[in-house]
Amino acid sequence: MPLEFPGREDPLLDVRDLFISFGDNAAVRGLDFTIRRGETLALVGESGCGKSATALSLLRLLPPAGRVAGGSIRFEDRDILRLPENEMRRLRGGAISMVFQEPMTSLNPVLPIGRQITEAIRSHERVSARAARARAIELLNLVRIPEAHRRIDDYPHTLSGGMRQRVMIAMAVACRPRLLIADEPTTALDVTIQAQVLELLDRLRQDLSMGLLLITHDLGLVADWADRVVVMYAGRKCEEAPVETLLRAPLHPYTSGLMACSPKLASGLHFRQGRLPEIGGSVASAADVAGCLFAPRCASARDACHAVRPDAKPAGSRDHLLACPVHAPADYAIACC
Amino acid sequence: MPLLAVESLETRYGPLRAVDGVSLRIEAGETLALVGESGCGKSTLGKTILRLVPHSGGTVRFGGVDVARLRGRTLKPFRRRMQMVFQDPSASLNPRQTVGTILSAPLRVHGVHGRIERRRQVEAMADRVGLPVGGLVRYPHEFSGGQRQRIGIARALILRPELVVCDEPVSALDVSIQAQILNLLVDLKSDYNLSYLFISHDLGVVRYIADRIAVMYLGRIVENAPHHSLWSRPLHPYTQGLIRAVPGQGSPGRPNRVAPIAGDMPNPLDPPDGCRFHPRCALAADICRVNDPPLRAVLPGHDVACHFASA
Repeated sequence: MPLEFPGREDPLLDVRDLFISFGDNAAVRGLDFTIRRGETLALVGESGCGKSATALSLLRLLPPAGRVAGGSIRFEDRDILRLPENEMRRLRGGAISMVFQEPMTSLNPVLPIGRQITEAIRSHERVSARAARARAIELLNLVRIPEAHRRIDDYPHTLSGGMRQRVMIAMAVACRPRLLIADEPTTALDVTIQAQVLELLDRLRQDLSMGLLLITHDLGLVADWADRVVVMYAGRKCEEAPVETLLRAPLHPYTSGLMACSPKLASGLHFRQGRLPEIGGSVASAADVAGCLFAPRCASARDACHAVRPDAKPAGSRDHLLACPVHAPADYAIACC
Repeated sequence: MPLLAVESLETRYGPLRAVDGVSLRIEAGETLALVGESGCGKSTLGKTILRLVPHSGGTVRFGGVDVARLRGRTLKPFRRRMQMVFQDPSASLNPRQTVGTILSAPLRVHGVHGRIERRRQVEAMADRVGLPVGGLVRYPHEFSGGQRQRIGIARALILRPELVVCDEPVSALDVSIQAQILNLLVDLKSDYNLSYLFISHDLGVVRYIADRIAVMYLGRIVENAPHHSLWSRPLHPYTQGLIRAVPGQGSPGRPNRVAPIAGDMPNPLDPPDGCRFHPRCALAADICRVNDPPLRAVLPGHDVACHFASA
C-alpha cells in the first residue's frame, strides 16, 4: 500500500463557479468540480443539463453562439480561459484530449484512418512521417484493432462503429494526454461493443495515468467505470460523491429519482406487477425559476425550495456534496457553516 | 388462433438477407419484444410485418389472413388494424402540419367522415395520451421530445389498431421521460386491448415491458422464450452475453468491468458458415463451424438455436 497519494490535494483540473451561456440562455450556472490524476470522474445528467457544454468549454471549443460567462478553469498550472490561442492549440489533442459521441461524424471520411492519426501526432511533435506511421500502427494495436498494419490505410466507412470509436480513441491518446474527456463515448454503439470500448478507455487511463472525464446519461456505466460522480440538472450540480456512496445512499431527489425510474434488469419489475416510478414533468420547467431548479418536478419541494436556490455543500462527509436542504442529513447545516 | 403468426419470413435488400427465415407468433394481448444489436434485422422484421417493406418469402398471418399477399383495397382494412410507433418522433412527424392535422389524417384516410366526429376523436385521443389542452393547433417542434412521442403514439392509436409495432419508442428519450412513456404504453395496452411488437436494444426496458422475448442475430431468431424463462435461464450464448453486457449489474464497490462478448458483428452480406454466432462464441466447437443449428424447444415454450443448449 502506498502511503502517499500524489496529486490527491493538487487536482489535475479545477473548475470553479463556471457559467456558460448561449445567447440569453444559461447552459451552466455556477459549476464546481475537480479531477485528479488517474481518476475517472463521471458527469451525469439528461439532455440540456450542460454536461457537453462543460466538456467543450474545457478545450475552449464552444460553438460561436456559446461563451463562458464566468468562473475559472485551471488545468495543472494553466488558466485555460486566459491562455493565448497558440498555446491552447498545443494543449488540445496534446495534454487534454477528447473522444466524441459519434465516431462517423468526427472522422474525416475522405482520408485513410492512418493519415488522420499521423496528422494528430505530427501537429504536436516533430517526428518524421515514417516514425509517425509506426506510432499510428502501435496505437491501433494498443486499441486492439486486428491487423493494424493493414487497416491503417482503410477509410472510416469500411470500419464498424466499434472500430471507428477505437480509431477515435487511438487518435485521442496519440500524444499521451493527461486528461481525456469522453463525451458519451459509447452512446452510438451496441451494448456488447460498449463494454469493449469502456474496458479499453479504462485500461488506457491506468496505463497512461490519465484523468478521465466520462460524460454520460447512463447510471449503469457510471456504476461500473467511475470513481466519483457529479450529477447535474439544468446546469447546476445537485450532488457529488464517490460512486459507492452515491449508489448506496443517493440523497438528492433527482439522483434517487433517476436511479428509480430507469428500468433495470436486476429489479425484476414487470409491467403486469406494477408501474415504473416516474419523475413527472420535464426539464423545461427549470426556466424562469427563482429557487431550486428541480423544485417544479420535485415531490418533496417546500415553499422555501421555490424561493432559495441551494448550493452544493458537504452532507455527511467531506466528499459527499448535496444541493438540497430537504433531503440533507442532520449535520448538513453545521457542515456548511 | 394467435393474433399474428409469421412463418419463414424473408426480406432481402438486394443481396442482403436482412430477415432470413423468421417464424414467430403474438397472442392477443401479448407483448413480444424483439431484441438484438443494430443491423440484426429487428426493425426490418417489424416493417415487413406491417408491409412497409416488401417480403421475399414466407407468410405473415394476421387474424388468420396472410397479409403478405394482399394488395390495394384488400390490404387497407388490415393497415388500420396494425400501426407503428417510431423511434425518433421528430423525424416521423410532419413539421409543417399541426398536431391536430397529423392526428386526424389517419381518420380521413380510413373514411371516418365528418369533421366534427374526427375532431371529437382527435381531442379524446390527445387527452388520453396526456397532450396539453390547446396543443392540437401547435406544431411538433413546439413540443419536448417526450411530448412528441406522445403525439406519435396518439397517431398510431387513433384508428384503434389491434397490433402496434413499437420500434425503439423510448431510445431517443431522456431517462426521466422514458418511464413516463413506458407507463403510458402499458396503460394504453390495457385500455384498448392492444398487442405490442416491441423492438428494442435496451434489455432493462424489455425486462419491464415484455411477456415474451425473441433475440435476433444476423437476420435470425436465436432464442424465443417467455419472460420468466428467458431472464432466469437464458440458454443461447449470445443472449447470455447480451445480458451480461448490460452495465450497472455489479454491486456498489464491486463494479462489473468485463466485456462479455469479443469481436464485432460479422458482415451480414457474408454471414459465417454453420452457426452465425460461432466466430464470437466461447463455446464454439467443430460442429458449430459446419452445421447451422435450428431453433428447437429446450424448455416449455422456450426455443433456442444452439447445438449445446440443454435443459
